[in-house]
Amino acid sequence: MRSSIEATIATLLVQRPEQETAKGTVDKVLSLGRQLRRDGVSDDHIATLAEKSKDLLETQLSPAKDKSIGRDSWQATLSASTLWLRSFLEMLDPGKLRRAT
Amino acid sequence: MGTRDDAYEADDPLKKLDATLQDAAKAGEKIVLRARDLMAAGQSVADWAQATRDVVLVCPPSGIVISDLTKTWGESTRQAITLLDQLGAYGSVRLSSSTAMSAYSTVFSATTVAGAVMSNPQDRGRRDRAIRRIAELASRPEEERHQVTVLMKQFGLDRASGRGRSPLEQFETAHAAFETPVDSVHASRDVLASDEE
Repeated sequence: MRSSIEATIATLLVQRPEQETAKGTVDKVLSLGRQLRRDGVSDDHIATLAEKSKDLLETQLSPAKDKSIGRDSWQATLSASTLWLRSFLEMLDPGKLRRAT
Repeated sequence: MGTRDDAYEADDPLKKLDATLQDAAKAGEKIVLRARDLMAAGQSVADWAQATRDVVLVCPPSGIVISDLTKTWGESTRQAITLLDQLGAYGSVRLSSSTAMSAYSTVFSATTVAGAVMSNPQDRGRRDRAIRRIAELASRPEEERHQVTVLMKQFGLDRASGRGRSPLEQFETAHAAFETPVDSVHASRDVLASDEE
């Protein structure tokens, strides 16, 4: 799931209308939010999702938990990741992507 | 004197939960700000745990300085867990995506810092039940999964770039691994580990 989230962010970064430096997950999500957000999406909402992405990738989907996760925590992590992906993608407008030619 | 809206809010378990989760988030942010001030003043700071939205920092020599804040955060977190537990009595309650995400963050934070704010077995039992409760109440897992699949296709995330698998394929693999785990170690790696292909 971590790979899916990271690949999602990486793929969308390439297709941003404008390339700008973004180091770290939070900056990358903020950059995508600023450039691709749907009309009406607030800065606060983007910031919240950026912080959640850090929490997900660095804590809940941390490699340190690879061998120690129980089934309840596994389900919770899977659900939290799925919810984040849905919220993140729903915030963005696919029409604003720079399509590869 | 409270207004009718206040009374309504107090009686609505979801509004109460949202308010408590916000309190936990605000308390977490205050801890971070205080800790940053201490760091700026040159004090040594240990990375202690992840809080609701940020890193909770505790300064070993100055732990007492922020103990008031960690206490507030711990109380809000405990209350959120209690409210989640009580939501089981409301059969038709469903958590919104944003509430569920906040709840997961808060409960996971409590998991991380269990030794500090949830040290007894009764607290830990409530925390574990809360994790299950979020999954029960948030989820319509198939619906969420379907929505993500549709969205990923809209963004072209069903196409692989280079030799790796597409984000959608990795997403589906993670869900399939949970549904039919071969064994706990290998299956959990599909959820958690990096794609090493």
